[in-house]
This record gives sequence, structure tokens and C-alpha cells, in this order.
Amino acid sequence: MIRALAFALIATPAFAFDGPFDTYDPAQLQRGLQVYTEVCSACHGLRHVAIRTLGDADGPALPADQVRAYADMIGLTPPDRFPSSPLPEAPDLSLAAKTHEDGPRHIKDLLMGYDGTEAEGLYGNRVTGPISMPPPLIDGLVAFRDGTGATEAQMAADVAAFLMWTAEPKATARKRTGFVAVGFLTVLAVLLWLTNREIWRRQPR
Amino acid sequence: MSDTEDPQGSRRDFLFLATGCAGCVAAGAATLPLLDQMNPAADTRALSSVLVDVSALDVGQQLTVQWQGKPVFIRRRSAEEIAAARTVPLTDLPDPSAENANITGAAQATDENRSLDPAGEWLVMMGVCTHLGCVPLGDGAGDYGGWFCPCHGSHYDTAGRIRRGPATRNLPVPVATFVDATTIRLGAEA
Amino acid sequence: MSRLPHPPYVPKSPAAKWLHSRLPILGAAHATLMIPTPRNLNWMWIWGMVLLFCLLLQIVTGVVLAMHYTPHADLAFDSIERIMRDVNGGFFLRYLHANGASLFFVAIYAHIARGIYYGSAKAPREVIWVIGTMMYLMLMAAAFTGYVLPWGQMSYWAATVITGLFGAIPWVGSDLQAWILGGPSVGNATLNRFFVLHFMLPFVTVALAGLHIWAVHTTGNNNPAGVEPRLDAGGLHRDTLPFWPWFVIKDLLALVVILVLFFAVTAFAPNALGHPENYVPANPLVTPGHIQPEWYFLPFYAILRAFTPDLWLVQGVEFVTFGAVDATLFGALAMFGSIAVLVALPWLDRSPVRSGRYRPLFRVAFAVLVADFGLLMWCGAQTPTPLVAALSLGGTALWFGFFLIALPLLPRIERTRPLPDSIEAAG
Repeated sequence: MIRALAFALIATPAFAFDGPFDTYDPAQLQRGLQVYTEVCSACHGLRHVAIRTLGDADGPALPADQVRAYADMIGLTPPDRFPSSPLPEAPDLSLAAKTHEDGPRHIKDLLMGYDGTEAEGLYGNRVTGPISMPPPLIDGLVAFRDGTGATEAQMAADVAAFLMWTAEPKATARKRTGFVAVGFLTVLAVLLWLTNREIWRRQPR
Repeated sequence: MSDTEDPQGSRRDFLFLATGCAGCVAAGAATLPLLDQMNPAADTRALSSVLVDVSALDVGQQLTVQWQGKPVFIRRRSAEEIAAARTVPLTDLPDPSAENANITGAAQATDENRSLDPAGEWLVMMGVCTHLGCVPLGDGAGDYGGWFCPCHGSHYDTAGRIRRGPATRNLPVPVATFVDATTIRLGAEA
Repeated sequence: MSRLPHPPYVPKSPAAKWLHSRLPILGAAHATLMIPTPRNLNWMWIWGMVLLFCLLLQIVTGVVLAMHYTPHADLAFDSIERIMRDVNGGFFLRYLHANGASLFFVAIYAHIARGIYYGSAKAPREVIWVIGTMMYLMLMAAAFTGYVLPWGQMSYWAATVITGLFGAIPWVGSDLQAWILGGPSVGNATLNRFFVLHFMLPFVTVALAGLHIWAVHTTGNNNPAGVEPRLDAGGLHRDTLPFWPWFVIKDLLALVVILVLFFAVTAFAPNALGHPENYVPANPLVTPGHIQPEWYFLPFYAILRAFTPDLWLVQGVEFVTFGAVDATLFGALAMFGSIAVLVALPWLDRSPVRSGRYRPLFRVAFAVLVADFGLLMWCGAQTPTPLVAALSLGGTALWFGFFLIALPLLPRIERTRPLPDSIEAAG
């Protein structure tokens, strides 16, 4: 627990959105969405995530017409959430980035951690040990719309960032509120400190 | 507390005032989110608009759908109903206002200001009596060939306008528009 | 009604006079605010105000969260995700409530430590202390039931483990466990009743807080010197200050500084004190690899796990009780016992000197106690290896040793430093 707290407050950020001043990069989240749609959604669901949030300014920031097009593509009627996992054994990914300490790094390392072995239907992975998910990423699997080269590492990083957003879509709003609250309370603390000093000077002897 | 020289005293008073104000602002800032959380949440707001497929609706038929928890009457009017509505002089109407959310500003309760399309074939209204909220009966009910509310006897005409009875306002026309030939969107797109 | 004389309330305005003759609530508020308070209170006396704030924070955030939470096993997890994603400001309210529990325990442990060190539990303040331990128990019960509500993996399995302890009680155990759970295992019946208990216990705590403050008002505050204020008019004036404004402002200052840290943690590291496994929905068929309670329960968890069947002590007791007391029950009894000794503190610490400032040996023993609490907290978080088990056992022995051996014996052997004549003299 203390380790986690220290890590959260002190460690250098591994991702662009880690630090207190950092926000999600919409371009990265859009690439991650593309990886999810074209690779992961065959088996994994995102049942807590609402399609309309793809248009959030603090998230992927897709324009409204693209959000509608995406909803039409998966054939959704209200209620407006992504489907559950088509493959029952595949865990839902909405919160995947929060179920492990340092979740996004764990996801990225897992996707990059296949050692190429296979035994009894399980695939060797340096991070998890033998795992039933076959290696999902190879170079050039996805053609990113913004032209970024789709290396395995790039796709892994982008989908990890996307999954951090699906797990914590309000991260930017939370940090913004934090700055306002901490800033204001600091001002109040200074005023109270001055007031306290003032009234204690005036103790009736 | 002993009295001090004026500048020190006023500095002290300013400090106390500033601290008190800052404290009140903090308390107020804390109250706002506590109140705002009771406002409709994002998923509720997303349901503020629905699409209705009206391809199966024949002339002279009415479809009732539920939207935002309330019934909405969608009627495909016959030529007789349209004509009956258009011959009514405005002076006969207890409520001269169009009560149409799609028209900005004041508008008179002409039939053209009530129907969704220029021909007058499509009429979309909240199916909630403007008296005390019962659901009026349709299909030519009442003395004016439109709707009749059984609770306290309000009569509405073929354009949904109040003609007689305790209700004082015409059945309101909600925000509605055709998105294609057979689909109506109720409510504004979120 | 207080030991300490203070000017009576005289209503000034007509409205005040009208109310006061019908309900003396203004008088009660005045008396509470104007109580003579020792001038020498240090920064360890602020925690009461922090605790009051925490109670208010948890009740307010809890009530608004309850407007959106659904206490059904199939819907609970999703309703909280809805709070995090769709409810206006819901994510911040949830994180305030979750981290507010941690702040609550930081404050209560500091408050209790102050009480032990400065002898605040001793006569005439025994009732304050006992009511306080009741509130601590209420807080633990509220925290435990509250943690089950998200219905994550940790919620479910923590509930299973802790309610399983009741099953270890001889003869009545399994019926008692079924009665608590409402079924053969943790399920929807358990969740629903835990929600009701979680909602209700804080209001019991409010009532106890009222009694606690009333009792403090009756005896007057303790102070770092452990020497009571003089009761003659001149002495009282030189030893004490009215609570308002000096100590209200001082407490508010400390509270706001603490809130700066609290909001920083809530906004920038909201999940640091929690367990990631609780973001996985509860699965009765799969136990997580590493079950662990929240940090504030870790020391007691270590005591619970310290007693393994291979210990001669456990085996001996098991033999003597014809198998009724096994390792599980022994651990549970030790765990509850570790809190029971806390309740008994006023009658265990018999030193005529109140404050630890003037008790050199006691200070050493207290330092060991605090370090021991930290050790037990660390042990509770580890996987149960033999080393961890040995350390937990040692830590448990130290804990009971402090309360049952050190405290009663110290008055006989320690040479206390001379007490100051008055609070004023203490400086």
C-alpha cells in the first residue's frame, strides 16, 4: 500500500497521461480504439463504456458524426454501451487497466511478452505465464488512419492507453478538480494560519 | 481583546473577514457538486432523444410511443382531419398559442404551426392532458373529432388543440423532426 | 454541568430569549464553545475535530452515493461504474468516500495514540474512553460492511473470510454464520443487509459522538502535562482559554492543512490505498491469489493469522478445551482480544501520573507499541511465510504485553519525573 502510494506520487510517468498535469492524447486514444475494434473486439467486450463517450473532449474526442457512424457500425440501439465479451472466457476490458498495479504498463508488457512457445492450447508469456489468449498483435496488423506506423510496440502502447481511458474516463476532470481544490484549500490554510497566529498573540493574560 | 491602533486593527479585521469569506466560498464550492449529482446523469441525458420508425403507420392511424417516461401520440392524419383542423378560426380556440417546441418565439395555433410536415399529414404531440396529466383517448374521441380526456372531460380537436373542458393549454408538440422518410427523431440530438 | 466553572449563557436578543425559554439549545452550544480549555494543548489535540469532519464527510458523500447505488448482487458493481462514469461529479464523490475512510482511520489512530500517551483514558475520563472505543468499533464495522458493497473480488472474499470466523465458534458457530450471511455463503442476502448496516451505523456513531463530547465537557479536556486546571478564578483564567476562538481556529487550521493532503491524494492517487483486485467483479468460484483487507485492518489481520495449528500454545489450548478452540478460533479470539485490552485501558494503566511526558519508562514502552503497530501492519500485508508468521506472533505478544504486563507493572518500577504545579507552570 505504501509502495503504491509512493509509486503513484513519485515515480516517473510511463505513459503520457500518468502525471498530475497530464491528459490523454486523443490521437493515441483513437489509434487504440482502432486496435480494439479491429483486433480485440472479436473476443473482448467493453460493457461499461458508452459509445457516446467516444466523443468526450477529455477522451478520444471523435466528432459527433464519427461517433454515430461507429454506433451504426456495431448495430447499436439504446442502451448505448459497447457489447459484452462475445467470447465468454475473454474478460471484459472496461476496467482491465485498473485491475493490476500499474495497469497500462502491465497490459503493454503482456501484449509484448509472448515468447513464441505453445503447449496444450496455452501460449507462453513472460508476464503471465502460459495464457489462453493467442498473441494478438503482429507488425502492420492495423492500418492507422493517422498514418502512424503500426508496429507491435506502437499498437500495444496505443491500446493500453485506450484501455486506461476506458477504465478511468474522468481522469482529466479529476485532476482538474484536484488542482482547484488543493489550490483553494492552500489559500484557505494560509489565511487560517495568519488568523491563528493573530488570535494567539491576543491571548488574555 | 485590547483596542489597537487603527491600521493594525483594520488589518486584523480584514484578515478575519478574508478568512471567513474564504471559508464560506469553500463551503459553497463543496455544496455545488452535492446538489449537481442529483441532476440527470449522462446516461439519462443520452436517452433524451429516440428514433421512431413510422413506416408501418397507415393514414388515419395513431402510434403511441413512450419517451422520457411519457406517452407521445404520433398520428398520420386523414385529409378530413386536416381539413377540419384548418377551418377552425383562431378566435374559437381557448389557447391561441401553437405550443410547438420546434418553433422559436410566439406562434399562433394554426394547424400549419402544429403539424410536423407542411402538408399536415403528421401530427406529433405529448399524450398528456394539460389539465392534470391523464392520457387522453384518441381516434376521433370527443366532440371535436380529436382527443377526449376521460378524467375531467377535456375535448381536443384534430390538431390537438383544447376546445372545451378544464384544460387550458393545447397538447404540446415536442422537439421532433424527420431524419428520413420513415423515421422521426423525438428530442434534440444529445 | 461541567467541573470547570464557566460563565452561564445569557440570551441577548428577543429571538434568543424566546428560543432559550423553550429549548436551551443555544445555551448548550454556548457552553460547548466557551468551555475553558487548557492553554497548553498541542497539535495532537486536533484529531477530534478531524474525526468530526470525517464523520460529516462520509455521511454526506455516502448519502449522495446511496442515491445512485443498487444493493443487489447482480447490479451493485455496475451501479458503481455508473456512478464513476455517468453521475455528475460521481467519480469525485466516490473517491472522496473511499479515501475518506482512510482519512478517518489515520485520524482515529492518531487520536487513540494521543489518548494512550497522555493518559487521557485515566480517571475521571474513563467513560470518554469507553465511548470512544465503542465509536472505533462502529467505525470498523461501518468500514467492513462498506467495503463489501462494491461487490468486487476483494469485497466478496473479505466478507467470506471475516464472516467465516464466526463459524469457528464452538456449537453455535455454523448457525451464527448462516444467521449473519442470510444463507449458506456470502450472497445477495448478505449484501442487502450489509448495505442497511453500513447506512445506519454512522448515525449511531453521531449519537455516540454527542455523548463523547458531553462527557469531555463534563470532565474538561486533558492536556499534555496531564495536570488538571486550577479551579480558582485566577488560576482557571491563567491555565485555560475559552474553546472559541482559540482552539476552534487552531483545529480548523490543522483540518485544512490535512485536507490539502487529502484532496491531493483523492485527486491524484485515488486508488493508491485500495486494492486493484476489487475492480474485478466478485466471482464465488475463483479466490484471488492474495486476499488482503484495507490497510487500516492489516494489524488485526496479522494477529488473526499469527496463530497457526503447529504452535504449542494453540495445540495446548486445543487439547485442554477438547478441540473446541482450534487455530482459527484462537486467532479470532486474539484479534477481538487485542481490541478488548484497548477498552480496558483505564483499568490497566494504574500509574498516578497521567502524562507520558513525565514517565520515562512508559515512553519507551509506548514507542515500542507504536512500532509494533507498524510491524503488525506490514505483516498483515505479506503472504503468510514462516518468517511473517513468527514476526506476527512476536508482534501480537508485544501488543498484549504492553497492555497486560507493562501497563499494570510500570507504576511499581518506574521513577516518574516531578510534575509541574500547574498548566501555566508546565509552559
